[in-house]
Amino acid sequence: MNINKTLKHRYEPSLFISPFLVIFFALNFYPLLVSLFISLNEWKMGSELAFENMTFDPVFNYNIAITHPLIKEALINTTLVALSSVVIVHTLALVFSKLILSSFNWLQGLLLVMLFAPFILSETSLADSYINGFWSFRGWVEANKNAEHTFLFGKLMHDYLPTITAWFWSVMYNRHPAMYVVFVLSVKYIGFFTLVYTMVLRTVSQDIKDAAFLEGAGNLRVFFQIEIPSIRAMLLAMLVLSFIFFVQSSDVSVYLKNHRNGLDIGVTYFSLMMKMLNEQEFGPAASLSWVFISTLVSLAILIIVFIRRKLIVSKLMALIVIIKHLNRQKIKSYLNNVLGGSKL
Amino acid sequence: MNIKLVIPRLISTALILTIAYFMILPMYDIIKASFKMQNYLESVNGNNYGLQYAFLQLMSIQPFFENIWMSFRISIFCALTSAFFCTTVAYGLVMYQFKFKSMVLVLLILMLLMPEGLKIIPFYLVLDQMGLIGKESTLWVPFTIPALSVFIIRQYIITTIRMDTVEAGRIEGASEWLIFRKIVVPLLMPALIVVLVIQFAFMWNQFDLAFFTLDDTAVQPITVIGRRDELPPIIYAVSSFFPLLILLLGSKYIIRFVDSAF
Repeated sequence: MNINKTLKHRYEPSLFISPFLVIFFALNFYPLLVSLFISLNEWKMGSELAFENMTFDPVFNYNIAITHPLIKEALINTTLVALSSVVIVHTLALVFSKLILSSFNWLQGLLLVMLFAPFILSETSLADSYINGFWSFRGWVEANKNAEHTFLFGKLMHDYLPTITAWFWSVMYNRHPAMYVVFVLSVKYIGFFTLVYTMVLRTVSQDIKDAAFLEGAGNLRVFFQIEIPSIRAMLLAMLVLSFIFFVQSSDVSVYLKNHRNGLDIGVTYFSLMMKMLNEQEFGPAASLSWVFISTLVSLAILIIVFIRRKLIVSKLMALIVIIKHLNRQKIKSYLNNVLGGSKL
Repeated sequence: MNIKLVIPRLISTALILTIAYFMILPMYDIIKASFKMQNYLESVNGNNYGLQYAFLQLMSIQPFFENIWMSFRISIFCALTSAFFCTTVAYGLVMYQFKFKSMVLVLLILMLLMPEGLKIIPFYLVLDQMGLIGKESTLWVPFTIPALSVFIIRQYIITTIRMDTVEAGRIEGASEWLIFRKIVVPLLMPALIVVLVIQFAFMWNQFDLAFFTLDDTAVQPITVIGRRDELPPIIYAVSSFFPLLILLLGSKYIIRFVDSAF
């Protein structure tokens, strides 16, 4: 009886964990190994999709992948899009979560659900609908440009709105369509990260915050010096996670390229990989994906090491202290000198 | 009434409503465009052709009902199995001490780091070897234990479920499975609903694996069909309807999830 009980207790955890291990090894780890194997083999195009048709050549595919004419463009595009999206999404998500936590009532609940709504739509649908919405708004502005209005509204309709919409359209769609990709990614993921930060910010001890308020600290100071350091580990995890999400995202750029003539962002890292797969270049695509994952892992390790040494936090704190203690008069006189000097 | 308290409240309410409007704009636009012409510019500035025209356009897509049913089926299967397995894994990780616990956590993080595109080619080869190419299960089985959902539920268990409750069940002689089923799962309902919504939406929008493994248009999900250029705009409205419905049904639990967690 006792032996049975001991055995039962011993194997209970494995019964709960084992589904994950089976799925991980069968559908994550094994495919990874296969992918590595493919990347190290030359695979003649047109031959059957089988391991027998491969010839071992560890450099061949990596050489094709790294010297691909689009690789540089893909790297630059991906880095720009992913980093900009990370900054925008996390800044806004933190602001929204503070807004939601300021006093949690039905309105804040509504905000949370509404923010979460774009997360459940596909990136393509979002990209399409915001273009449609903006195009429709611009059409309305153009149609009402010359209509009669009251003085205040007339100025807005005649001058400001047409100029702003035209500038926005020209910058976002014609000159820098990557900005549109950043916009769509930000709208899509902001709700998810707001949900996470709302939960995480609740873990910060209220006693510590109350003590800080009693000592005379303001809301901003409490946020930057107590709340942010307290959720640092989660913040770091979310930063890395979102970076991975954004790097992997290729739908919007592919959509803009295929469905909107003239809105060509070029390629991103991931769309380059999909292009290789479409063109049956399985070997180079596998090698590119390994270059991709090793970049991600090294980046994650770098960030973790960097944060562990508290470099970012201490530097930020130092910067806040420096800005706070700078003499405003000195800055003003310095600016006056600079401006005066340039005038002279 | 203190004016100093009212004004910030009014400003924050106006801000919240503006953001909320901006966020539901895509849904409004998708529904509006679905009643119009096929062409993009015509669909924005063109005439409204009404519900009947939209319905006829929808019926012209072949085989529409099979595609939508396929999407619905795989999304539901994926969401339900994910909710179940993620809960068991998260429960096992929180409640038990075992030898390779930290190793399992590292594996979960590794899963998060792996890009989906990396697995497409090997998936194809592995599924081909198993004779599963073209089968429905190939679409959702790989996504049954997403690491992100495990983390969400794990965090929820840590902060909301008291060990005393579980211990009381053990003292009363309940088996671990009974405790899990009768005590833990009901308490985890908000987190489970959040995972269900996320997984349903993820599976509904999943494109790459279906595109590479299914050739027959009759069994392709709606996302793959929706990428065809010649399709009318109503396809976007229809393909967004089910995830929105799931979100609306689960919205009460999402709010409760934030309100009760931590």
